[in-house]
This record gives sequence, C-alpha cells and structure tokens, in this order.
Amino acid sequence: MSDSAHSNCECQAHAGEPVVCFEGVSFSYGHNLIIDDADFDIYQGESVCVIGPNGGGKSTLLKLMLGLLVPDRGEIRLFGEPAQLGRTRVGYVPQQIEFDPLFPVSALDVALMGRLSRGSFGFVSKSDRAMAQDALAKMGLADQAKAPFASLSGGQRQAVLIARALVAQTELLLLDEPTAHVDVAAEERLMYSLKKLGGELTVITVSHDLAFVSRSVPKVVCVNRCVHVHPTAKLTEARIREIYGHEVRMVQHDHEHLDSHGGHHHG
Amino acid sequence: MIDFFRALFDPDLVFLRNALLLGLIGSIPLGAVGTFVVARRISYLAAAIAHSVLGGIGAALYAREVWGFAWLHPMLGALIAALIAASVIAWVSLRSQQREDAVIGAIWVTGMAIGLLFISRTPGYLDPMAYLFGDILLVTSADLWIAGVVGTLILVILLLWHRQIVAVCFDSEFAAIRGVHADRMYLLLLLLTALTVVTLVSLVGIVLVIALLTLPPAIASLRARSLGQMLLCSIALTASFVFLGLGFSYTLNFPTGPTIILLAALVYLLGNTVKRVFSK
Repeated sequence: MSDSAHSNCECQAHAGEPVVCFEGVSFSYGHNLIIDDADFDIYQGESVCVIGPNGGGKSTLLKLMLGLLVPDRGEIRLFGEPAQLGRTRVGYVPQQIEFDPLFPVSALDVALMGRLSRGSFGFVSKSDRAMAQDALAKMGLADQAKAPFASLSGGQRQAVLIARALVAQTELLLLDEPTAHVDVAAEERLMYSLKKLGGELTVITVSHDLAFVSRSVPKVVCVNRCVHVHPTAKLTEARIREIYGHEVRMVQHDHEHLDSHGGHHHG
Repeated sequence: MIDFFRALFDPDLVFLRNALLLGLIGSIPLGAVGTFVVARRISYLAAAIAHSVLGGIGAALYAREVWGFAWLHPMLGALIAALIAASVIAWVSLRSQQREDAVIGAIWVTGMAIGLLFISRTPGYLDPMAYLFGDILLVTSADLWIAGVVGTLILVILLLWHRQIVAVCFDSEFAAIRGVHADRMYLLLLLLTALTVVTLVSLVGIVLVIALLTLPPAIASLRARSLGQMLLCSIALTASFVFLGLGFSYTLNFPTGPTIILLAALVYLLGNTVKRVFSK
C-alpha cells in the first residue's frame, strides 16, 4: 500500500512494505470515539512525531500500534504482520512507568527485560548482559548499571527505559512523550542520545512540544480523533489551530527551524 | 535450647524432627515465592488463598470419615482448594468487572465457612484451631513427602520462568509487548503461592502461614539491592525463624506457630527501627 492511496496523507510515495500500516482504523472507549478512520503508513528509517491536544488520541494511537488495544474497525499491520505478532520487533518507551519504588531492580535488570521473549527460560546469558550494558552505555548510563532503578532521576529512568527498548534489537522505537517528566537539561541529553542512534531505526515520538517537532522530524502525524499525516514543513498555523482548537503563533527562524509561541501543549 | 538439641536426637520425639524438617524444607519455597508476593504487593491475595484452604481440609476429612476415602490426605484437599482459589482470584483480578476486593473477601470467608461446616459434620472430635494456628503433632511423614515434592516443583518452575515473572511483576505492559503471556505468568505466580501455602499449613496453620510467607521477604527487602539477594536472604531468614521458633517453643512450652511468627514479627520491627534510625 502506498501513501497516495490515502486521502489524509500528504507524504511522498515509498518503496517496499511499510513498517506501520493503518487501514481504516477506528477505536472507541464505550460510546466515545477516539480514533476515526485512520489511514496512514510509516516507512523504515523515518522519524515521525505524533502531535495533538490532550485526550485527542495520541497515546491510544500508540497502544493500537502495539496491539495493546484492538480496533473496532480497520486493520493495523506492523512489518506486514498483525500488530500482536509484529510488536516483538518494537521498542516501546511509555510516558511514565508506574512502578513500585521498593521493587528491588537495578538499571541493568530493567534494561535486561528488553532481551525477554516468550521463550526466555532460566538465567540471563552473558551476551544478553553485554548487550544491556552496551545499551545503557549508549544512553550515557554505563556507571549507573548497578544503581537501584528507583534511586535514579526522572531523566535517567527514562534513559534506562529507552535502553530497555533498544536492547531488544528494536527496528521501530515508539516514544510516548519521552521528555514530559524531565527537566530541560535531561531532555537535551536524552534527545542527543536518541539522535546518535540514527541509522535504519524508525522512530515515532509522541510530543507536545511543537518547537521540538519542527526542528527534529520531517513528518508529523496530527491526531485529534481524525488522523492526518503531513511533512513538517507543511504544518501551518491553520492546521495547528484546527488540531488544537485555539490560536498558535508560529515564528519561522530558518528553513528547518520553526518555533511556536503559545503553542506548548501537554498531551 | 540445649534441651531442644537433645530432643532432636531423641528416638521418641520423631514429631519434633518431622516438624523441623518440614519447616526447613518449606522455608525454600516460602522464601522464594514470598519474595515475589511481597515485591508484587499481593499479600492480601495470598491471605485469601490460605484461608480458603480450610474448605479443602474440611472436605477431605469428611470424605475420609464418611465416604471411606482413606487415600484423601487433608493436605491433598488443601492443595486442591488452594489451586481452585488461586485460579478464581486470578480470573477476578484480570477479567472480572466486579469489585476485586469484595470478591476476594467473599472467596476468603466462603472457603473458611465450607471448611468449618464439613468439620462440624465429620464424626469424632476435630479441633479446627489446630488447622488455623498449626500443631506440630499434626506433622506426619506424608507432609514431608508432599512438602518435598511440591517444594521441588516450585523451585523448578521458578528457575525456568523467574525472568518472565519478574518482568510481569515490574511492568506487565512491556512484558506483553515482548511476547510474554503476562496474564498466564500472573496466574502462575498465584498458583505457586497456593502450593507454597499448603506446604507449611500443618506446622504454623492457615492464619499464620501468611506471616511466614511475607515477613521474611519484607525484612530482606530492607537491605536487598536485587531480587536475587532478597530471595536468598528470605530463605535464610525463614529457615532461621523456623529453627529458633521451634527451639523456643519446645524450651518454653509455647505453641510453635505463634512463637515462630512472633519471632519473625519482632525481627521485622527491629529491622524497620534500625533502618529508620540509621537513615536519619
């Protein structure tokens, strides 16, 4: 399926099977329609941001991608397979993990959970341990591997969760507002670590920060019940007003860098 | 305590050796499974499973006396009741739209009511207190065999699936994304809890076994930096409480179950106090 087949997608055509494919997907919580007839594709190596207002359906869209929610209508495919099969190739980093601070696990233990599969029996292998330590090092946490997870700062915990997602030899990384609960310095460090990963990894990030979106990704998925996919350059004030339902003033600093005023949204 | 050591080698006091052996064998599954129960914070579910065990014990005693099912050992009845209760509780926790706490409370008291009803209808004198609070005279060699087999089974299952259970306890959503059957692992943990509870019921009783399942891991968690440390420390603490509690109860002529539990509770209190003082 190509993008051109979709009425609400303004992106270029790509060769090959999409990594993520939504076909006429609708989802409701009870009588409350959250996602209405979503049709879009995301291809290998793309960096995409999902934006939209609170309650607009951003996190629901991610949970549908992961097969954690089942659509009322339509079909979702990951790597050409049904979402519940394809999701083992996906690394998911939730907005915030609800965990017991007294649960005795180290940063390394949490990262090692990324090596888990249905067939994981017995003890952790040396190669798994090495991969987890390597992923922690990539996120700048080599010296915190043995530290209790609960003792880490918000930004460090988020970095451990990204390491956990990466250690699964992820081909698609889903980040649900990775910087929502961290300070500006931690956000910079996280984003720097993520940029270094680069390569063939497909990254989908839910973000409320339009400035981050405009300078970081070439493609946006706008979600407010309806789902529209645009190149970031075509993200106009009118479109944002339509998505968020109020005025947002945007200031063009250069060709690639778009900044927003009054458009900082938490979702 | 010297009298206790002498008594352990007295050929006429087989029951004392059986009680100690049962406690030491049972401390391995208790410490191991208790670690997951405490880490996952499902002690109240374990308590409901333990109390429902009385239903199985009562039914087995009745079936032996009235229907002539001599093969039906009360601990086998306890095992069946515990496994049924664990399965129902898992289903309620994961699937039911009902209020979970109310349903679990209902399972808790229904099991006890069934047990008391069967015991009241069983010919001959049976004291339910012995099952509720333990009686070392109840420990037989059959209990040792059951505890040995059940304990080995629990350890093998934990060795095979501990990574998946840990992942589900920590973050079940992520575990599911990795392909782990999160619901099945949760059910497995409750079934292991049921098996563990049954191994020590005759020694410390239905009511007190929960304390022995949860207090040693709770003490271990005060210092442990990993789940492995917590588990090993819990097993060592459980074995120590059983050994010392049995010794004190023999020497001071106290009931065994309460002595073991009070010892564990005292150490927990001391551990918490020391931690508070040193963390200031």
